[in-house]
Amino acid sequence: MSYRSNIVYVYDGSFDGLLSVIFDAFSRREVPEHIFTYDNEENTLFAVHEVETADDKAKRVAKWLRGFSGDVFTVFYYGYLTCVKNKEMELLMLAIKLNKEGKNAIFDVSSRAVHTLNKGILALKNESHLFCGFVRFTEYSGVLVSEIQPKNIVLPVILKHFETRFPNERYMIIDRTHKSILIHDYRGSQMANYTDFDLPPIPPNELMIQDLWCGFYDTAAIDQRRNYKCRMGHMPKRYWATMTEMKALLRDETIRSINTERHDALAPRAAGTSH
Amino acid sequence: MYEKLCILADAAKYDVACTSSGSSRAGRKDGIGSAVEGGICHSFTADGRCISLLKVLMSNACSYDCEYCVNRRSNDVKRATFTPRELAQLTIDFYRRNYIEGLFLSSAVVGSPDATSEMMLKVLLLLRNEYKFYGYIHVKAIPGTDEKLLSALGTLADRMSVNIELPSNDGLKLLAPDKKKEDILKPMGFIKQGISQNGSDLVKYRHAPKFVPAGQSTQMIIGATPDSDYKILNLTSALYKKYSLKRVFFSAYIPIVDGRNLPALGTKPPLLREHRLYQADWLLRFYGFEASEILDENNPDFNPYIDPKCNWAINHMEFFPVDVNKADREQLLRVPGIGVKCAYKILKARKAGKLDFDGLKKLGVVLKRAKYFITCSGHTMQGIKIEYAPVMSALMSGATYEAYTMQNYEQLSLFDENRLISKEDVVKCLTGQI
Repeated sequence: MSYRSNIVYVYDGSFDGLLSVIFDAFSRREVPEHIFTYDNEENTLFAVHEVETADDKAKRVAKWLRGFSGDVFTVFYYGYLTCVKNKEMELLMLAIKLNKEGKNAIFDVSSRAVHTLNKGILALKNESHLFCGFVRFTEYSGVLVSEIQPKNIVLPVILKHFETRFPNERYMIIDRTHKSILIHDYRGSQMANYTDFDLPPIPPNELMIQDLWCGFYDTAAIDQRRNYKCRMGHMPKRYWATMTEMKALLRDETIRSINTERHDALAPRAAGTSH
Repeated sequence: MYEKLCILADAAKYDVACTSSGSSRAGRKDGIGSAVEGGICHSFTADGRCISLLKVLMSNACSYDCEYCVNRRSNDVKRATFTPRELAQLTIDFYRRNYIEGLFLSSAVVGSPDATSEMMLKVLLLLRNEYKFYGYIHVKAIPGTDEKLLSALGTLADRMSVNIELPSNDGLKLLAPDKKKEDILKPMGFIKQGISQNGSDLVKYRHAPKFVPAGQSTQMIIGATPDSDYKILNLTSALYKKYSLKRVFFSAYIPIVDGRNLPALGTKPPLLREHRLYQADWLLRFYGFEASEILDENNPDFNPYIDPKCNWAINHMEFFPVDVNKADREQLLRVPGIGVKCAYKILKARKAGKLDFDGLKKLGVVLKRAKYFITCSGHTMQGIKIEYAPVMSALMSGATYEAYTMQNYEQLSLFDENRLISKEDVVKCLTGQI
């Protein structure tokens, strides 16, 4: 690890791939200029090294990381799940630091890599907690389906929560940002990638329950205490698009355009088809 | 069903408590649901309050006539009643879609307290036994209910609560002639006893059914009667001590019905007062304050401009400065700008080495406020002038400070003695020249 070389790495974006990146960097004794995935690769003048994702490489690095402590491995796994900019480089720098200083390197908050990763991991955990509440299922003939648009890769983090909560349900959570999907049935939970697909229209029976929920949501607000800023602080707008009770509101707001300051969210929404 | 839900949710929304915390239970293979220790908020209403539980009344056909309440007998509103089956099915429907964390079941008194409780018990039995629901359930104990019914409810629910509603007996007599203080305190005492009894049972038999594992809470309406903050806070503190409550909630009174003995309909809810009470409530529960330290008979109401902790600090300058490298937890917690987490971090970081002001900032101490009250190894922060005006301005937000100075100019000439503390006093206390 003597010098920074003029080379960029490209890998497949998986966790094993990332561990293979670390393996390659150490075995080739070089620090790349940048690490891309195949999805976000940019044209550069640097030489490109394509990292081959290999089980044995990943296993060796994982074992090496676990050797420091369980916490170290967790930092790498959660670090991989975050949406930190250049997270691959930060993780590689942390690996180099660990190699030099030993396991306590992850507590050195003054180092840039540790600081940014810690912040990113906190954001990941916070977002995961919010999604434990903000996930909204829609029932399609016995299967519960939910869409989310998280910033971080939250599915592996919230997997356990939903598994213990709905052990006998068949459900799937679709992560539209990262194009991955969590599927649960009686055999247990699985993660998979998917190519774009649209959901069928919501069945009428389901619409009725959604109406009930929206009705409950609207009545639960106390008019005299209205405080949109407070709501926005707790439940930022970027979550609204996938939440049953907020969707209609979001749509109304866009229609009413940006110019009109006043948005009366408490006005009862148009009642649905059938109660 | 839609209309019914809206009526009964509308009637229940003035209940503040909507927490789903305090109970931790893994789901089971044979059923649905789990409970998470920290609780989960599933949505937030337009007033910024969290929706965690399906908060509804079993029925709003009340046979009591409490003046402050929308559901009183003499009020002309639409009435509705859930059947136990309807409500249980609705809860499960919502829960499966991850809309809610569980059920919050309250009710108006239909006929007699016992009859009402029986209906509520039916819902809980359906949920727990038939639907195998292991999620969170909060149930209201109706004052005057038979103890057997209460204990049956308690073994099925996670949290129980009895609403005190009005902080004094006089208020109760005036506004809720059908309720008596003893009636409210009796079930509270019973639940407390049940919880402690259950604690010793659990030691003996590991599988003894848990009784109200998330504890009990209560709620008071603020601003419907002329009770002072001091009185309310004292009552709160007594409730925590005597009945080991988990939470006391405050609800700013919102005039929804017209009553002879009530504030006029247009009155705005005293939200700031409610906020201050919650701040004081946190001081009682987490900061080791006593009610008598926060307010006393001479100052029975909260300072509208600064929060109770800052108010205490500025009136007890003899306690400061506190040295962050030496002080113990209790002392650290008294410093404005240092909270429970910060105090913990300071204690932990101190083991590694001496802390300076830069380090404190990284730990998350709000130096804007704290700098006037602390020293680091004997040094105050550089360039700090401990004068009345900057200290006060540091303890408030910009807008509040402006309002405060405006008020103070007026007051200086008229009620000089009303000022919190004079400039000289602050200087004297902080420099130690008395």
